[in-house]
Amino acid sequence: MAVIVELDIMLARRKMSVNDFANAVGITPSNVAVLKNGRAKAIRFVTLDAICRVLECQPGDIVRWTADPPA
Amino acid sequence: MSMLASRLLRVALVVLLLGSVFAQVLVSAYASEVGRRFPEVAGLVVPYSAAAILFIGCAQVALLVIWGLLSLVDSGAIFTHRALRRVDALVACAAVATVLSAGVMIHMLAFVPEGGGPMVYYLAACITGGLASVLLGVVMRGLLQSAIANRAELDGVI
Repeated sequence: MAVIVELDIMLARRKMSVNDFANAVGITPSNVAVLKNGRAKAIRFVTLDAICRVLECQPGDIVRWTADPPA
Repeated sequence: MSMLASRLLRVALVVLLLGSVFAQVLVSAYASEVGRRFPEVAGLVVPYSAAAILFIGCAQVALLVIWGLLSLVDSGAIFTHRALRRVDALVACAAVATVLSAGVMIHMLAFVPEGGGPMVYYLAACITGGLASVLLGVVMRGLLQSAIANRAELDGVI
């Protein structure tokens, strides 16, 4: 998929563990793992809102778009 | 509210199940009584009783299936493939019951001289009603299937 979630970088920058982050955002640690692995099909605006509030960042800081390599 | 409805429905299902067992006993007793009074139809007592008992048996299986669906609703697992299998069973029950009753009525029309008269209308009502309930079941099954697909897609949303 061309949309990439870059949670690792922001989590490292904020020095937050996955569990603390999951608790603060209000999602399960396994869903955080799904986000980090790029297996998420979609993300709710409420989840994105909570992530941005917890990490004090903009959506663009955690979600990046890249063009698919030509097949 | 829905919990209360579900509990009341379970009570109703138990009452219906007990009533249907009673009806199975009653129907065979009634059939043998008719057989004694009209010896010319005595040969039909056993097959017709069997058909009636089987028909009520279909209703009993349907009641048990509804009980199972209710359990799935209560545990929040109604939008899974287990529910689909139960709905399949429900549709099969309706189909078997329709074929059974239509078969008995057709046999009555063809081979029992006293059968005639309103039996044609009963047969028409049985076939259209049975077909309608089977088709309704199929349509509802389609709805459940799309709901299951939607639920699966939502599970991928974080």
